[in-house]
This record gives sequence, C-alpha cells and structure tokens, in this order.
Amino acid sequence: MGALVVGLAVAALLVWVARPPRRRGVPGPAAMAPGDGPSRLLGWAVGALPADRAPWGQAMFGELHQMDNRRQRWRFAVGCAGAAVFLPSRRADSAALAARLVAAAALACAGLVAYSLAHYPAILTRGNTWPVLAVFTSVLVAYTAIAAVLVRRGPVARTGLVSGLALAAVWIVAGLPVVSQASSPAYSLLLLAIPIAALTAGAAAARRSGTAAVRQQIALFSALVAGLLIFLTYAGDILLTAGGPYDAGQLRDFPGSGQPDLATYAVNDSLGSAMMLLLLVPAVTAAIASTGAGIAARLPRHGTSPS
Amino acid sequence: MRRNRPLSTPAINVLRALAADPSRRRYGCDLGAEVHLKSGSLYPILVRLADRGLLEASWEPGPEGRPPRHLYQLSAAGREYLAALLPPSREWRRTSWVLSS
Repeated sequence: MGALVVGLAVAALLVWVARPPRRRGVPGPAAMAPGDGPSRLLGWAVGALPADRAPWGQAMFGELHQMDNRRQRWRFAVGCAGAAVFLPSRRADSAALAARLVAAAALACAGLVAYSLAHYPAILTRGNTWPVLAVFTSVLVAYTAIAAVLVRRGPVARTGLVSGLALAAVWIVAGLPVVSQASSPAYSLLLLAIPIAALTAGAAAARRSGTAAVRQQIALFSALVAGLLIFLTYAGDILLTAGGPYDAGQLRDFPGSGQPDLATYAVNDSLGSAMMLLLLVPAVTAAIASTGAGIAARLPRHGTSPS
Repeated sequence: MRRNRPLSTPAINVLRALAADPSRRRYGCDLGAEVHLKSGSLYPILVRLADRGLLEASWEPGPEGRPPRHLYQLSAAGREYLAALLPPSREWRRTSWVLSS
C-alpha cells in the first residue's frame, strides 16, 4: 500500500514536471492545436523542449497544420515528438553536466544500498525488503528523469546545484545534532534552520529568474539535489558506523527482530529511515522553497515592479 | 568550446537541396520530401544546421487561424561550406540540373 502511494506521488510529480509550459512570446501548443491526436502528441513533446528551442516546436506545429491526411499527420507528429524529446539545449554544456551529476548521485545512492545488502545479506531475507528496494529504485530513476527534464526546460542548473548543496549542508548540520541529542530542547531549535534555509533558497531562485515557472523549477531541482546528497551522507555514515551508535529503542527491539546481529538490525533500520528522508526532504524542501520564491517575487525590487 | 563535427550525408543533402536554388526559401515539409527525410530526422538536422549558421530560418505569417510557418534558406556560410566540400556525386548533379532547369 505504501509502495502504491509513493508510486502515485512520484508519477504525479513526473506528470507535473512534463506538462507543457506556457512561454512568453511563443504561442502555446494548446493555442495552436486543433485538438486531434497528432496535435496533442506534438503539444506534449514540444512542451518538453528546452526553452531556447521553443521556436522549433512552433515550426513543427506550423507544418503539421498544413497536412490534411490523417495518416500523414500521425507520421509527422510521431517523428517530430521523437526529435523534440531528444533535441539538446544550446546551453548543453552546463545542463548536461548538471543532469550527469544528479544521475551520478542517484547511482551512488543505489551503490551504497547495494554494498550494504552485500555486507549484511540477512536484510534480504525480510519479507518487505524487495518491495522497498523496488520503490527506492523507482524513486531514484524518477529523480534522475525529473532533473534531466528540469535542466532542459530552463536555466536552473547552476542556481539549483548551489542551492541544493547549501540546503543539504543545512539539513546535515542542523539535523544530525537533533538526531543524536534528541532530548535537548536547545538542539531542537536548530531545526528552524531547515525551513529558513529552504525559504532563502526559494528567495535566491526568485532573484535569479523573473518567471514563476523557472522559480518553481529551481526550487524543485535544488530540493532533489539536497535529497540525494542527504541520503548519500546518511547512508555513508550508517555503513561506516555499522548503524551505530545504537539507541535504547534499537537495543530494546533487536531481540524480537529476527535479525542475526545488532549491526544488521541497526543498518536495516537506519537505511529505512534514510529512504524515508529521500522522499521527505525533496517534498518538504520543494514546498517551502516554492513558497519562499513566491513571497520574494511579490516583494518590490529596486527599480522594478513586483511580478 | 563546442567542436564542429563534420556534417552527416543527410545534412549535406539538405544543404545541397537548398543550394539548388539559393534564392528560394523552402518549407520544412517540402525539403523533407525532396531529400527523403522523415520529420524525426529532418528537424534535428535543420536545428544543427541553423546552430552552425549554415542556414537561415525566417517566419511566414500563417493564414487566418493557422500558425506561422518556418522557411529555410542557405546562408553565406552554408554556401561556403558546400563550396569547400568535394564535388557532389553525378546523381546529385543530375537531380540538381533537372531541378534548376
């Protein structure tokens, strides 16, 4: 059931990311499409074009509208859709680098989990391990795909990467003492740094871009980067310390867990928490950063009117 | 720095089709039919040629209720590129001669 909910959430996120954007100065696909199948297909594919390639999408629509034969329209639309999906941006250098970095981070996350399963094979004997691994792999693939689409859409790579690194650093610096010193209220105050950092990242995105779509894309991209980096840090720490230091709850629950040793039980338990963070961090961070970007965009700037 | 790789044969065929009548601006569909390229191959080639400045694209306003159309024409750089290439094959010269006459 949990896997289904996560799958639906990730699918909804993918659909949201892949929806055709409205671009200023270029008539949107919806405005150009008479509404038949080939037009809708081309509209969706043209929506995935990088912003600097939007006129080529319009050129494809211009030709499609000259065709009356239904079979010819389908052939033309399918060909153009394939071309649009793979057409690289002119800013291919920074965008491709950012997409590759995200893919490498996702691969490293999968590698850490694979190493922990090889080192603690008893984890695989638990009934829910395989469904959890399937969801985990799907999430990593989805994050990589979303990041690739986002960097193609607009100038999000540099700001998104920097914001993502900063957000991950704040989560780690503010979050780890709270986890290890949970009983101290003073440390709990540190948690306030997390939403403040996300709001600041959103405000930075608003300063970099005048359009709401790009602000949201930067917020989402930085949230994905932060989520992957936090997972890498947390999972790396779990493997280095064999899940330790063990808290009272783990010591209490271990005898009834059926695991052969405390380290296997703790690694399994902590990796589960890390996977939850992999879902939670991007969702929470993206929501707060988008809010911060929206607030910052409404604040007047020197010499400009609020957008 | 971006490297300029040699153009593929279909891309050179597109340039040659445009060079057959350099003053004439062509629609994408007509160009694709002439060089036997489907839309999935034609548009990436047109984008690549435009990025390298070998062809010029312009817009023709569409009739009422229809979107504008892209028109393509060989640029000066495209003409220089073609001139620097080896002479076209006998078959292409024949096609070009038939078209121009």
